[in-house]
Amino acid sequence: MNTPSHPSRLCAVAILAAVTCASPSAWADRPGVRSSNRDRDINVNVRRDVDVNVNVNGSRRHRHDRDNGSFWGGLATGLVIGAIISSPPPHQQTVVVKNVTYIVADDVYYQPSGTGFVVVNPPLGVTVATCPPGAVQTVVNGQVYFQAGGIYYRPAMQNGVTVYTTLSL
Amino acid sequence: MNIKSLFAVSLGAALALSSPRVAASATPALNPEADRRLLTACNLLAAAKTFTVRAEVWEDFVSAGHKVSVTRLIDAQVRRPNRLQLEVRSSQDSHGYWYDGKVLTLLDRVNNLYGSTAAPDNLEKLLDAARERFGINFPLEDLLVNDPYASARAGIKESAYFGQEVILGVPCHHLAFSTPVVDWQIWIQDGERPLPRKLVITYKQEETAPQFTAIFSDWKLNSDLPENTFRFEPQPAAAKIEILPVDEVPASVPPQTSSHP
Repeated sequence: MNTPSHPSRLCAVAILAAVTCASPSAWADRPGVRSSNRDRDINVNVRRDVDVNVNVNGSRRHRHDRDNGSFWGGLATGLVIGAIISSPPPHQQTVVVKNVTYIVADDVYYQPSGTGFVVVNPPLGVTVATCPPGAVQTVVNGQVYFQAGGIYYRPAMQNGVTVYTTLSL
Repeated sequence: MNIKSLFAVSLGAALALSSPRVAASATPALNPEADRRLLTACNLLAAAKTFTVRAEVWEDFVSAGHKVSVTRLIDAQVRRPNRLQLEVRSSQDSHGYWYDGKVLTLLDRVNNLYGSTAAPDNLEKLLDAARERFGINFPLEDLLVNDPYASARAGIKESAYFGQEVILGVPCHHLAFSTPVVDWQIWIQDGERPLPRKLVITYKQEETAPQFTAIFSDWKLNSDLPENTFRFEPQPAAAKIEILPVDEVPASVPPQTSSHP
C-alpha cells in the first residue's frame, strides 16, 4: 500500500509497547447550518444504521462514533496480521461471523492467543477503514485491489472517505 | 389618523416594548440589526462571481473519554453558479474535491485513490445530491451556496446582535442565530467589505453540544479562476474507485468463514 509515513503507524508501534495513544481521526463532517436544518425533515438515522450494519463498529469517523466510544482513529489500525498485543482497545466488540468469533476494535480483528490477542485477517465481506500495513496494490480486470494476508481489499468511497471491503478473488 | 387613535397606537407600541412576553408572542425574537448585517454579508458573497478563501477549522469530538478538538485546513475556490474546488487537510487526511458543473471528483490524496460521479448543474443541487446520494457533507457548505442568505435564513427562530469584536486583528460584528437544531454565530467584518471572519456552529442536540469553529482568511473576491481549476486531472499513479451510494453495502462476495481463523 502506497501510504506514506502516517501518525497511525507510529501509534501502532506504541501500542505494542502498551503505550496508549489516542488519535482522533480528522475526517469528520457534520452538516453545516443549511443541512442541519434539513435534517429535521429527513431520517437522520439512515447513516447510523448503515454504519452499524456494514462496519460492525463503524469505520467512519464522524459524529455518531461517539456513541460507541470509538474515535481512537489510528490507535490500532496499522497493526500487521500476526501481531500480538496484550489487550485490544477498551471499546472492543465481540462479533461472530460464520461461527467464528472475533474481537473487533477500530476495524482490526483479533482472536485470543495465549495470554494476549493476535491480529487476524478480517472475515470476508466486511468493510474496514484501512488496509493492513504492507498491503500490495494490484489491478484485476481494471479494478484496483490491495492484497494482504492472502485476501483482497476492494477500495471504494463511502460517505466521502475511502473504505475497503474484504473478499477473495 | 386622528390624535386619539395615534395615541392609542403609541401606547400599544410602548406596552409591547415594555412587556417581553407580549413582544415575544407578537414576533419571533429576531434582531433586525443581526438580520441586516447577515444580509449584507450574504449579498456580498452572492454577488461575487468567484471567491477563494482559506479556513482553519476546529471540530469537537469525544475520543477515549476526552472532548477533543480536531483541526483541519480548508482552501476553497468557487465560481458561481457551478464551479468548486476544495482542499481539505489534516494531520491524517488530505482530500481534494473538484466540481466543474458536470462531474464531481473526490481524491483521497493519502492513498491516491479517486472517485468521480455525474453531478447536477449548480452548487445547491450538488450539495444536496452529494449528501443525499453519497453521504458527503461538504465542509463550509453555508458559504458555497449561491444564495447564502436564503439558505441561512430558512431555519432561524431567534437572533441577536452582540456588537463589535476583533477577530485576528479585524474589527467584526458578532451575530448569533438559533434554529431548532443548531445555534450558530458569525463574525462579519466591519466596513465596506462585510466578509465572514469567523463561524461557530453549536450542535446543541448532540450530547456534549460539540462545536464547529472556522476562522476565515485570505478572502479574494472576483479573481480570475481558470477552468482547469475545477477539472480533476489524475496523476499517473492514481487509481479510480467507485463512489458508493449512501445506503449501499460495498460489493463483495457473500461473507464466508475466514480462511485465517
